[in-house]
Amino acid sequence: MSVAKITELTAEQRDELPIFRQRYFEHGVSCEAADRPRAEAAFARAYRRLGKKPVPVIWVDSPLTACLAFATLKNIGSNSENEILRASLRDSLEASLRASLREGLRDSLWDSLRASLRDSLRDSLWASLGDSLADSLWASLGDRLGDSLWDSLRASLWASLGDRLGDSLRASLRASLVASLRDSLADGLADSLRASLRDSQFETQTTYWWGQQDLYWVAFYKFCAQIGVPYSDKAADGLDIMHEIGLACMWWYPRDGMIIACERPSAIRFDDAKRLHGESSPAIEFRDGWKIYKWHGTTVPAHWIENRPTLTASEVIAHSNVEVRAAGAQIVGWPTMLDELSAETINDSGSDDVGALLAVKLRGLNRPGKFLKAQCPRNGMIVEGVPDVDDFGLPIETALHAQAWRVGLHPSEYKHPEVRT
Amino acid sequence: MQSFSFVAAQGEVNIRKIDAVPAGLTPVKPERGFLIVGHSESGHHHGFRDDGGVALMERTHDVPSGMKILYAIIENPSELIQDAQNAHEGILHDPGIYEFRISREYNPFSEEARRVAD
Repeated sequence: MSVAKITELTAEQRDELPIFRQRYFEHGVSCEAADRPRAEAAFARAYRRLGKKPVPVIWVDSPLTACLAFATLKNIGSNSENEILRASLRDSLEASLRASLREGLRDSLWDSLRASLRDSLRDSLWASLGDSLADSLWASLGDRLGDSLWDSLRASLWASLGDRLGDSLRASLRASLVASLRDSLADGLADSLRASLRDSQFETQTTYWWGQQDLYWVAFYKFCAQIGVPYSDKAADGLDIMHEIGLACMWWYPRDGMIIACERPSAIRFDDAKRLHGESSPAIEFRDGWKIYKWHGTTVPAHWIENRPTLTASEVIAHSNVEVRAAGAQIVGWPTMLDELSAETINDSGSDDVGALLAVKLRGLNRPGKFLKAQCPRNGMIVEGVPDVDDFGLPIETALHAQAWRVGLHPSEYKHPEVRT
Repeated sequence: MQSFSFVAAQGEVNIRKIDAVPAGLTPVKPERGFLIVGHSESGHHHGFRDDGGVALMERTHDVPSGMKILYAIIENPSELIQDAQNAHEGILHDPGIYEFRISREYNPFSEEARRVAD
Protein backbone atom coordinates (compact mmCIF):
# COMPACT_ATOMS: atom_id res chain seq x y z
CA MET A 1 0.00 0.00 0.00
CA SER A 2 1.46 3.35 -0.98
CA VAL A 3 1.77 6.02 1.69
CA ALA A 4 0.82 9.61 0.93
CA LYS A 5 3.74 11.98 0.52
CA ILE A 6 4.33 14.82 2.94
CA THR A 7 3.79 17.96 0.88
CA GLU A 8 3.82 20.70 3.48
CA LEU A 9 5.00 21.40 7.00
CA THR A 10 2.60 21.80 9.88
CA ALA A 11 2.52 25.19 11.58
CA GLU A 12 4.58 23.76 14.42
CA GLN A 13 7.18 22.37 12.05
CA ARG A 14 7.39 25.70 10.21
CA ASP A 15 8.04 27.46 13.51
CA GLU A 16 10.63 24.87 14.45
CA LEU A 17 12.63 25.10 11.19
CA PRO A 18 14.57 28.36 11.87
CA ILE A 19 15.25 27.27 15.46
CA PHE A 20 16.53 23.91 14.20
CA ARG A 21 18.74 25.62 11.60
CA GLN A 22 20.20 28.01 14.17
CA ARG A 23 20.85 25.13 16.56
CA TYR A 24 22.87 23.27 13.93
CA PHE A 25 24.68 26.43 12.87
CA GLU A 26 25.77 26.84 16.50
CA HIS A 27 26.91 23.23 16.66
CA GLY A 28 28.77 23.75 13.38
CA VAL A 29 30.71 26.72 14.73
CA SER A 30 30.99 25.51 18.32
CA CYS A 31 34.28 26.36 20.04
CA GLU A 32 33.74 24.08 23.03
CA ALA A 33 36.41 21.47 23.70
CA ALA A 34 35.72 18.27 21.78
CA ASP A 35 33.51 15.70 23.47
CA ARG A 36 36.14 12.97 23.11
CA PRO A 37 34.23 10.01 24.62
CA ARG A 38 31.23 10.76 22.41
CA ALA A 39 33.39 11.08 19.29
CA GLU A 40 35.36 7.92 20.06
CA ALA A 41 32.17 5.93 20.59
CA ALA A 42 30.93 7.09 17.18
CA PHE A 43 34.27 6.32 15.52
CA ALA A 44 34.07 2.80 16.96
CA ARG A 45 30.57 2.37 15.49
CA ALA A 46 31.85 3.56 12.10
CA TYR A 47 34.65 0.97 12.13
CA ARG A 48 32.31 -1.79 13.25
CA ARG A 49 30.12 -1.07 10.22
CA LEU A 50 33.10 -2.15 8.15
CA GLY A 51 33.62 -5.24 10.28
CA LYS A 52 36.71 -3.73 11.87
CA LYS A 53 37.69 -3.41 15.49
CA PRO A 54 37.86 0.11 16.93
CA VAL A 55 41.30 1.69 16.55
CA PRO A 56 43.29 4.07 18.80
CA VAL A 57 42.56 7.79 18.45
CA ILE A 58 45.21 10.51 18.62
CA TRP A 59 43.66 13.86 19.44
CA VAL A 60 45.31 17.00 18.07
CA ASP A 61 44.43 20.66 18.36
CA SER A 62 43.86 21.50 14.69
CA PRO A 63 44.02 20.16 11.13
CA LEU A 64 47.44 21.81 10.82
CA THR A 65 48.79 19.81 13.75
CA ALA A 66 47.12 16.74 12.25
CA CYS A 67 49.14 17.28 9.07
CA LEU A 68 52.29 17.73 11.13
CA ALA A 69 51.53 14.55 13.04
CA PHE A 70 51.23 12.59 9.79
CA ALA A 71 54.39 14.15 8.40
CA THR A 72 56.30 13.33 11.55
CA LEU A 73 54.96 9.88 12.31
CA LYS A 74 55.53 8.53 8.84
CA ASN A 75 59.27 8.95 9.36
CA ILE A 76 59.35 6.90 12.51
CA GLY A 77 60.55 3.35 12.34
CA SER A 78 58.60 0.56 13.90
CA ASN A 79 61.17 -0.37 16.56
CA SER A 80 61.50 2.98 18.28
CA GLU A 81 61.75 3.09 22.02
CA ASN A 82 59.96 5.99 23.60
CA GLU A 83 63.04 8.16 24.04
CA ILE A 84 64.21 7.52 20.51
CA LEU A 85 60.72 8.13 19.37
CA ARG A 86 60.53 11.48 21.12
CA ALA A 87 63.90 12.54 19.75
CA SER A 88 63.06 11.58 16.21
CA LEU A 89 59.69 13.21 16.49
CA ARG A 90 61.32 16.43 17.57
CA ASP A 91 63.98 16.33 14.87
CA SER A 92 61.57 15.45 12.17
CA LEU A 93 58.96 17.92 13.21
CA GLU A 94 61.34 20.79 13.73
CA ALA A 95 62.98 20.24 10.36
CA SER A 96 59.57 20.25 8.75
CA LEU A 97 58.48 23.32 10.60
CA ARG A 98 61.61 25.32 10.02
CA ALA A 99 60.93 25.22 6.34
CA SER A 100 57.57 26.83 6.43
CA LEU A 101 56.37 28.34 9.67
CA ARG A 102 57.24 31.37 11.71
CA GLU A 103 59.00 30.76 15.01
CA GLY A 104 56.16 31.47 17.41
CA LEU A 105 53.72 29.18 15.67
CA ARG A 106 56.40 26.53 15.23
CA ASP A 107 56.99 26.33 18.98
CA SER A 108 53.31 26.40 19.70
CA LEU A 109 52.48 23.59 17.27
CA TRP A 110 55.36 21.51 18.52
CA ASP A 111 54.16 21.89 22.12
CA SER A 112 50.68 20.95 21.04
CA LEU A 113 51.74 17.87 19.12
CA ARG A 114 54.13 16.78 21.86
CA ALA A 115 51.30 16.99 24.38
CA SER A 116 49.01 14.95 22.12
CA LEU A 117 51.60 12.27 21.62
CA ARG A 118 52.58 12.22 25.29
CA ASP A 119 48.94 11.45 26.10
CA SER A 120 48.94 8.73 23.50
CA LEU A 121 52.14 7.22 24.85
CA ARG A 122 50.67 7.15 28.33
CA ASP A 123 47.66 5.37 26.91
CA SER A 124 49.96 2.73 25.44
CA LEU A 125 48.85 3.64 22.00
CA TRP A 126 52.17 2.68 20.55
CA ALA A 127 52.03 -0.80 21.97
CA SER A 128 48.68 -1.36 20.39
CA LEU A 129 49.92 -0.10 17.07
CA GLY A 130 52.83 -2.48 17.25
CA ASP A 131 54.99 -2.89 14.19
CA SER A 132 52.40 -1.68 11.79
CA LEU A 133 52.67 2.01 12.62
CA ALA A 134 53.90 3.25 9.29
CA ASP A 135 51.58 1.04 7.25
CA SER A 136 48.54 1.80 9.34
CA LEU A 137 49.13 5.51 9.09
CA TRP A 138 49.00 5.53 5.36
CA ALA A 139 46.40 2.91 4.65
CA SER A 140 43.40 5.15 4.39
CA LEU A 141 39.96 3.69 4.79
CA GLY A 142 38.81 6.23 2.22
CA ASP A 143 36.84 4.13 -0.26
CA ARG A 144 35.22 1.70 2.14
CA LEU A 145 34.31 4.21 4.80
CA GLY A 146 33.35 6.74 2.15
CA ASP A 147 30.89 4.30 0.64
CA SER A 148 29.50 3.30 4.02
CA LEU A 149 29.07 6.75 5.53
CA TRP A 150 29.02 9.03 2.53
CA ASP A 151 28.10 7.90 -0.99
CA SER A 152 25.75 5.01 -0.38
CA LEU A 153 24.45 6.56 2.85
CA ARG A 154 23.48 9.82 1.17
CA ALA A 155 22.07 7.98 -1.84
CA SER A 156 19.91 5.87 0.46
CA LEU A 157 18.74 8.86 2.50
CA TRP A 158 17.96 10.83 -0.64
CA ALA A 159 15.97 7.93 -2.09
CA SER A 160 13.91 7.79 1.10
CA LEU A 161 13.09 11.46 0.73
CA GLY A 162 11.93 10.85 -2.85
CA ASP A 163 9.52 8.20 -1.58
CA ARG A 164 7.98 10.27 1.18
CA LEU A 165 8.52 14.00 0.56
CA GLY A 166 6.83 16.08 -2.13
CA ASP A 167 9.27 17.56 -4.66
CA SER A 168 8.45 21.12 -3.75
CA LEU A 169 8.83 20.61 0.01
CA ARG A 170 12.06 18.69 -0.49
CA ALA A 171 13.51 21.51 -2.62
CA SER A 172 12.38 24.12 -0.15
CA LEU A 173 13.86 22.30 2.86
CA ARG A 174 17.07 21.74 0.96
CA ALA A 175 17.31 25.45 0.20
CA SER A 176 16.52 26.56 3.72
CA LEU A 177 18.70 24.04 5.54
CA VAL A 178 21.46 22.68 3.29
CA ALA A 179 22.18 25.82 1.28
CA SER A 180 22.29 28.25 4.18
CA LEU A 181 24.31 25.99 6.50
CA ARG A 182 26.66 24.97 3.69
CA ASP A 183 27.41 28.65 2.98
CA SER A 184 28.70 29.18 6.49
CA LEU A 185 30.04 25.77 7.46
CA ALA A 186 31.40 24.24 4.27
CA ASP A 187 31.98 27.07 1.80
CA GLY A 188 32.98 29.53 4.50
CA LEU A 189 34.72 27.67 7.27
CA ALA A 190 35.95 24.39 5.80
CA ASP A 191 37.11 25.98 2.53
CA SER A 192 39.05 28.61 4.49
CA LEU A 193 40.80 25.94 6.50
CA ARG A 194 41.68 23.94 3.39
CA ALA A 195 43.02 27.04 1.65
CA SER A 196 45.13 27.96 4.68
CA LEU A 197 46.50 24.43 4.89
CA ARG A 198 47.52 24.68 1.23
CA ASP A 199 49.16 28.04 1.91
CA SER A 200 51.12 26.62 4.85
CA GLN A 201 53.48 25.06 2.27
CA PHE A 202 53.43 21.98 4.42
CA GLU A 203 52.63 18.51 3.14
CA THR A 204 48.92 18.41 3.81
CA GLN A 205 46.63 15.46 4.40
CA THR A 206 43.21 15.55 2.86
CA THR A 207 40.12 14.38 4.60
CA TYR A 208 36.50 14.67 3.65
CA TRP A 209 35.39 13.92 7.17
CA TRP A 210 34.63 17.35 8.54
CA GLY A 211 32.91 16.50 11.84
CA GLN A 212 30.99 19.56 12.99
CA GLN A 213 31.12 21.08 9.49
CA ASP A 214 29.42 18.00 8.03
CA LEU A 215 26.33 19.06 9.96
CA TYR A 216 25.18 21.15 6.98
CA TRP A 217 23.86 17.98 5.28
CA VAL A 218 23.33 15.88 8.41
CA ALA A 219 20.90 18.52 9.75
CA PHE A 220 18.82 18.34 6.58
CA TYR A 221 18.26 14.59 6.82
CA LYS A 222 17.69 14.81 10.58
CA PHE A 223 14.95 17.38 10.10
CA CYS A 224 13.32 15.23 7.43
CA ALA A 225 13.32 12.31 9.88
CA GLN A 226 11.76 14.58 12.49
CA ILE A 227 8.82 15.42 10.19
CA GLY A 228 8.14 11.76 9.47
CA VAL A 229 10.44 10.48 6.70
CA PRO A 230 11.48 6.91 7.59
CA TYR A 231 14.95 5.65 6.71
CA SER A 232 16.20 2.07 6.57
CA ASP A 233 17.81 0.87 9.80
CA LYS A 234 21.24 0.88 8.15
CA ALA A 235 20.84 4.42 6.77
CA ALA A 236 19.46 5.71 10.08
CA ASP A 237 22.43 4.18 11.89
CA GLY A 238 24.91 5.76 9.46
CA LEU A 239 23.22 9.14 9.78
CA ASP A 240 23.33 8.85 13.55
CA ILE A 241 27.06 8.10 13.50
CA MET A 242 27.73 11.20 11.40
CA HIS A 243 25.44 13.21 13.68
CA GLU A 244 27.25 12.05 16.81
CA ILE A 245 30.65 12.89 15.33
CA GLY A 246 29.33 16.28 14.16
CA LEU A 247 28.19 17.11 17.68
CA ALA A 248 31.49 16.01 19.20
CA CYS A 249 34.52 17.23 17.25
CA MET A 250 35.94 18.76 14.12
CA TRP A 251 37.85 17.08 11.28
CA TRP A 252 38.96 13.46 11.62
CA TYR A 253 41.34 11.34 9.60
CA PRO A 254 40.42 7.65 9.66
CA ARG A 255 43.20 5.21 8.84
CA ASP A 256 43.35 1.47 8.86
CA GLY A 257 45.00 1.20 12.28
CA MET A 258 44.38 4.58 13.88
CA ILE A 259 42.43 7.83 13.75
CA ILE A 260 43.76 11.33 14.11
CA ALA A 261 40.93 13.57 15.30
CA CYS A 262 40.85 17.34 15.76
CA GLU A 263 39.67 19.49 18.61
CA ARG A 264 37.26 22.26 17.71
CA PRO A 265 38.61 25.78 17.12
CA SER A 266 38.92 27.99 20.19
CA ALA A 267 37.32 30.99 18.45
CA ILE A 268 35.37 31.67 15.26
CA ARG A 269 34.23 35.18 14.36
CA PHE A 270 31.73 36.31 11.73
CA ASP A 271 30.36 39.59 10.43
CA ASP A 272 26.63 40.28 10.24
CA ALA A 273 26.42 38.44 6.91
CA LYS A 274 27.98 35.35 8.55
CA ARG A 275 31.20 35.81 6.58
CA LEU A 276 34.37 35.03 8.55
CA HIS A 277 35.68 38.33 9.81
CA GLY A 278 37.90 39.69 12.56
CA GLU A 279 38.36 43.46 12.90
CA SER A 280 41.29 43.25 15.27
CA SER A 281 41.79 39.53 15.90
CA PRO A 282 41.91 36.29 13.93
CA ALA A 283 38.64 35.08 12.42
CA ILE A 284 39.55 31.48 13.33
CA GLU A 285 41.82 30.41 16.18
CA PHE A 286 42.88 26.97 17.32
CA ARG A 287 44.26 25.88 20.64
CA ASP A 288 47.68 25.13 19.13
CA GLY A 289 48.15 28.73 18.00
CA TRP A 290 47.08 28.31 14.36
CA LYS A 291 45.20 31.44 13.35
CA ILE A 292 43.46 32.53 10.18
CA TYR A 293 42.75 36.16 9.42
CA LYS A 294 39.74 37.19 7.36
CA TRP A 295 38.23 40.51 6.38
CA HIS A 296 34.56 40.04 5.49
CA GLY A 297 35.31 36.58 4.11
CA THR A 298 38.60 37.39 2.34
CA THR A 299 41.81 35.91 3.74
CA VAL A 300 44.35 38.64 4.49
CA PRO A 301 47.91 38.56 5.88
CA ALA A 302 48.06 38.30 9.68
CA HIS A 303 49.90 41.56 10.22
CA TRP A 304 47.23 43.51 8.31
CA ILE A 305 44.95 42.77 11.27
CA GLU A 306 47.40 42.32 14.14
CA ASN A 307 49.40 45.47 13.33
CA ARG A 308 46.68 47.42 11.62
CA PRO A 309 48.10 50.91 12.34
CA THR A 310 51.32 50.02 10.51
CA LEU A 311 49.64 48.80 7.33
CA THR A 312 50.52 51.11 4.46
CA ALA A 313 48.69 51.90 1.26
CA SER A 314 51.82 50.96 -0.71
CA GLU A 315 51.78 47.45 0.73
CA VAL A 316 48.10 47.04 -0.01
CA ILE A 317 48.32 48.21 -3.60
CA ALA A 318 51.35 46.01 -4.29
CA HIS A 319 49.49 42.80 -3.30
CA SER A 320 49.00 40.44 -6.24
CA ASN A 321 45.39 39.48 -5.48
CA VAL A 322 42.63 41.93 -6.36
CA GLU A 323 40.25 40.74 -3.63
CA VAL A 324 42.93 40.96 -0.96
CA ARG A 325 43.80 44.43 -2.26
CA ALA A 326 40.16 45.47 -1.99
CA ALA A 327 40.04 44.14 1.58
CA GLY A 328 43.29 45.92 2.45
CA ALA A 329 41.98 49.19 1.06
CA GLN A 330 38.93 48.83 3.29
CA ILE A 331 41.15 48.19 6.31
CA VAL A 332 43.28 51.26 5.60
CA GLY A 333 40.32 53.31 4.36
CA TRP A 334 40.07 54.85 0.89
CA PRO A 335 40.72 58.48 1.91
CA THR A 336 43.96 57.40 3.62
CA MET A 337 44.89 55.17 0.64
CA LEU A 338 44.60 57.99 -1.88
CA ASP A 339 46.24 60.55 0.38
CA GLU A 340 49.16 58.30 1.29
CA LEU A 341 49.78 57.32 -2.32
CA SER A 342 49.61 60.96 -3.44
CA ALA A 343 47.12 59.82 -6.05
CA GLU A 344 46.20 62.28 -8.77
CA THR A 345 43.09 61.85 -10.85
CA ILE A 346 43.91 61.75 -14.57
CA ASN A 347 40.30 61.20 -15.63
CA ASP A 348 37.08 60.73 -13.69
CA SER A 349 34.32 59.10 -15.75
CA GLY A 350 31.67 60.45 -13.40
CA SER A 351 30.44 56.90 -12.83
CA ASP A 352 31.66 54.69 -9.97
CA ASP A 353 31.07 51.70 -12.21
CA VAL A 354 33.40 52.88 -15.00
CA GLY A 355 35.60 54.55 -12.39
CA ALA A 356 38.51 56.95 -12.42
CA LEU A 357 42.02 56.73 -13.85
CA LEU A 358 44.65 57.63 -11.25
CA ALA A 359 48.37 58.34 -11.31
CA VAL A 360 49.92 56.84 -8.16
CA LYS A 361 53.46 57.27 -6.84
CA LEU A 362 54.89 53.97 -5.68
CA ARG A 363 58.06 53.31 -3.78
CA GLY A 364 60.57 51.64 -6.12
CA LEU A 365 59.18 53.20 -9.30
CA ASN A 366 60.71 56.30 -10.79
CA ARG A 367 57.46 57.43 -12.36
CA PRO A 368 53.83 57.21 -11.28
CA GLY A 369 51.90 54.05 -12.12
CA LYS A 370 48.45 54.25 -13.68
CA PHE A 371 45.57 52.62 -11.82
CA LEU A 372 41.89 52.19 -12.57
CA LYS A 373 39.74 52.70 -9.46
CA ALA A 374 36.20 51.39 -9.90
CA GLN A 375 33.30 49.94 -7.97
CA CYS A 376 32.82 46.18 -7.93
CA PRO A 377 29.34 45.01 -6.83
CA ARG A 378 30.82 42.32 -4.60
CA ASN A 379 34.21 43.59 -3.45
CA GLY A 380 33.50 47.30 -3.15
CA MET A 381 36.07 49.72 -4.53
CA ILE A 382 38.92 47.98 -6.35
CA VAL A 383 42.12 49.24 -7.98
CA GLU A 384 43.86 47.58 -10.91
CA GLY A 385 47.05 48.62 -12.68
CA VAL A 386 46.94 49.65 -16.36
CA PRO A 387 49.84 50.44 -18.72
CA ASP A 388 50.55 53.83 -20.29
CA VAL A 389 49.82 52.51 -23.79
CA ASP A 390 47.35 49.87 -25.00
CA ASP A 391 47.88 46.94 -27.43
CA PHE A 392 47.12 49.23 -30.36
CA GLY A 393 49.75 51.84 -29.46
CA LEU A 394 47.19 54.32 -28.12
CA PRO A 395 47.96 56.16 -24.84
CA ILE A 396 45.50 55.27 -22.10
CA GLU A 397 44.17 58.55 -20.74
CA THR A 398 40.59 57.83 -19.67
CA ALA A 399 38.93 55.39 -17.30
CA LEU A 400 36.78 54.03 -20.15
CA HIS A 401 39.90 53.38 -22.23
CA ALA A 402 41.42 51.58 -19.23
CA GLN A 403 38.27 49.42 -19.02
CA ALA A 404 38.72 48.53 -22.74
CA TRP A 405 42.36 47.56 -22.13
CA ARG A 406 41.37 45.29 -19.21
CA VAL A 407 39.47 43.06 -21.64
CA GLY A 408 41.80 43.45 -24.63
CA LEU A 409 39.50 45.49 -26.85
CA HIS A 410 40.11 48.59 -28.98
CA PRO A 411 38.42 51.54 -27.24
CA SER A 412 36.11 52.02 -30.24
CA GLU A 413 34.90 48.42 -29.89
CA TYR A 414 34.40 48.49 -26.11
CA LYS A 415 30.93 48.70 -24.60
CA HIS A 416 30.66 48.88 -20.84
CA PRO A 417 28.59 46.05 -19.31
CA GLU A 418 24.91 46.80 -18.87
CA VAL A 419 24.86 44.34 -15.94
CA ARG A 420 27.64 43.74 -13.43
CA THR A 421 27.57 41.32 -10.53
CA MET B 1 19.83 36.12 -10.87
CA GLN B 2 20.45 38.87 -13.40
CA SER B 3 19.82 38.80 -17.14
CA PHE B 4 21.25 40.92 -19.96
CA SER B 5 20.97 41.61 -23.68
CA PHE B 6 24.46 42.23 -25.06
CA VAL B 7 27.24 42.87 -22.52
CA ALA B 8 27.61 41.84 -18.87
CA ALA B 9 30.33 41.13 -16.32
CA GLN B 10 30.59 38.75 -13.39
CA GLY B 11 33.66 39.78 -11.42
CA GLU B 12 36.63 39.51 -13.76
CA VAL B 13 34.60 37.68 -16.44
CA ASN B 14 33.47 40.05 -19.22
CA ILE B 15 30.64 38.60 -21.33
CA ARG B 16 29.58 39.64 -24.85
CA LYS B 17 26.82 38.15 -26.97
CA ILE B 18 28.21 37.60 -30.48
CA ASP B 19 27.04 36.19 -33.83
CA ALA B 20 29.54 33.40 -34.53
CA VAL B 21 32.46 31.59 -32.95
CA PRO B 22 35.88 32.04 -34.56
CA ALA B 23 37.75 29.07 -36.04
CA GLY B 24 40.48 27.10 -34.34
CA LEU B 25 39.11 26.85 -30.79
CA THR B 26 39.97 24.17 -28.24
CA PRO B 27 37.06 22.47 -26.42
CA VAL B 28 37.04 22.85 -22.64
CA LYS B 29 36.26 19.68 -20.69
CA PRO B 30 34.12 19.81 -17.55
CA GLU B 31 35.77 19.38 -14.16
CA ARG B 32 33.60 17.56 -11.65
CA GLY B 33 30.45 18.53 -13.49
CA PHE B 34 31.44 22.17 -13.90
CA LEU B 35 32.53 24.00 -17.06
CA ILE B 36 35.02 26.53 -15.74
CA VAL B 37 35.06 29.88 -17.48
CA GLY B 38 37.19 31.73 -14.94
CA HIS B 39 39.59 29.94 -12.59
CA SER B 40 40.01 31.33 -9.10
CA GLU B 41 43.07 30.95 -6.85
CA SER B 42 40.74 30.36 -3.94
CA GLY B 43 38.81 27.66 -5.79
CA HIS B 44 35.79 29.88 -6.28
CA HIS B 45 35.52 29.38 -10.01
CA HIS B 46 33.09 31.03 -12.40
CA GLY B 47 31.32 28.64 -14.75
CA PHE B 48 28.31 26.66 -15.91
CA ARG B 49 26.96 23.37 -14.61
CA ASP B 50 27.66 20.73 -17.23
CA ASP B 51 24.10 19.69 -18.02
CA GLY B 52 24.63 19.21 -21.73
CA GLY B 53 23.29 22.57 -22.83
CA VAL B 54 26.60 24.44 -22.96
CA ALA B 55 29.62 23.83 -25.22
CA LEU B 56 32.65 25.77 -23.98
CA MET B 57 35.78 26.46 -26.04
CA GLU B 58 38.98 28.41 -25.50
CA ARG B 59 40.85 30.59 -27.96
CA THR B 60 44.56 29.84 -27.79
CA HIS B 61 45.82 32.05 -30.63
CA ASP B 62 45.96 35.85 -30.90
CA VAL B 63 45.12 36.29 -27.22
CA PRO B 64 46.33 39.62 -25.81
CA SER B 65 49.03 39.35 -23.15
CA GLY B 66 47.76 38.29 -19.71
CA MET B 67 44.27 37.38 -20.89
CA LYS B 68 42.09 34.34 -21.48
CA ILE B 69 39.28 34.31 -24.03
CA LEU B 70 36.60 31.62 -24.20
CA TYR B 71 33.44 31.05 -26.22
CA ALA B 72 30.24 29.19 -25.50
CA ILE B 73 27.43 27.90 -27.64
CA ILE B 74 24.44 27.76 -25.33
CA GLU B 75 21.40 25.73 -26.34
CA ASN B 76 19.26 26.07 -23.21
CA PRO B 77 18.93 29.01 -20.81
CA SER B 78 21.97 28.63 -18.50
CA GLU B 79 23.24 30.48 -15.48
CA LEU B 80 26.85 31.57 -15.11
CA ILE B 81 27.55 31.06 -11.42
CA GLN B 82 30.43 31.43 -9.04
CA ASP B 83 31.12 28.58 -6.64
CA ALA B 84 31.65 30.58 -3.45
CA GLN B 85 30.04 31.56 -0.16
CA ASN B 86 30.04 35.26 -0.92
CA ALA B 87 29.54 34.76 -4.64
CA HIS B 88 29.04 37.23 -7.45
CA GLU B 89 25.36 37.03 -8.38
CA GLY B 90 24.48 34.56 -11.14
CA ILE B 91 23.86 35.78 -14.70
CA LEU B 92 21.31 34.09 -16.95
CA HIS B 93 22.39 33.38 -20.54
CA ASP B 94 19.68 32.88 -23.14
CA PRO B 95 20.44 30.43 -25.95
CA GLY B 96 23.05 31.92 -28.26
CA ILE B 97 26.77 32.42 -28.77
CA TYR B 98 28.89 34.21 -26.20
CA GLU B 99 32.44 35.44 -25.77
CA PHE B 100 34.06 35.55 -22.33
CA ARG B 101 37.09 37.74 -21.76
CA ILE B 102 38.83 37.19 -18.44
CA SER B 103 40.14 40.59 -17.51
CA ARG B 104 43.75 41.43 -16.83
CA GLU B 105 45.69 44.06 -14.95
CA TYR B 106 49.11 45.61 -15.35
CA ASN B 107 51.90 45.23 -12.84
CA PRO B 108 53.93 48.45 -12.95
CA PHE B 109 56.79 46.79 -11.07
CA SER B 110 57.33 43.90 -13.49
CA GLU B 111 55.88 45.92 -16.42
CA GLU B 112 53.72 43.04 -17.60
CA ALA B 113 50.03 42.25 -17.86
CA ARG B 114 48.60 39.40 -15.83
CA ARG B 115 45.18 37.86 -15.39
CA VAL B 116 43.23 39.40 -12.54
CA ALA B 117 43.61 37.00 -9.61
CA ASP B 118 40.89 36.54 -7.03
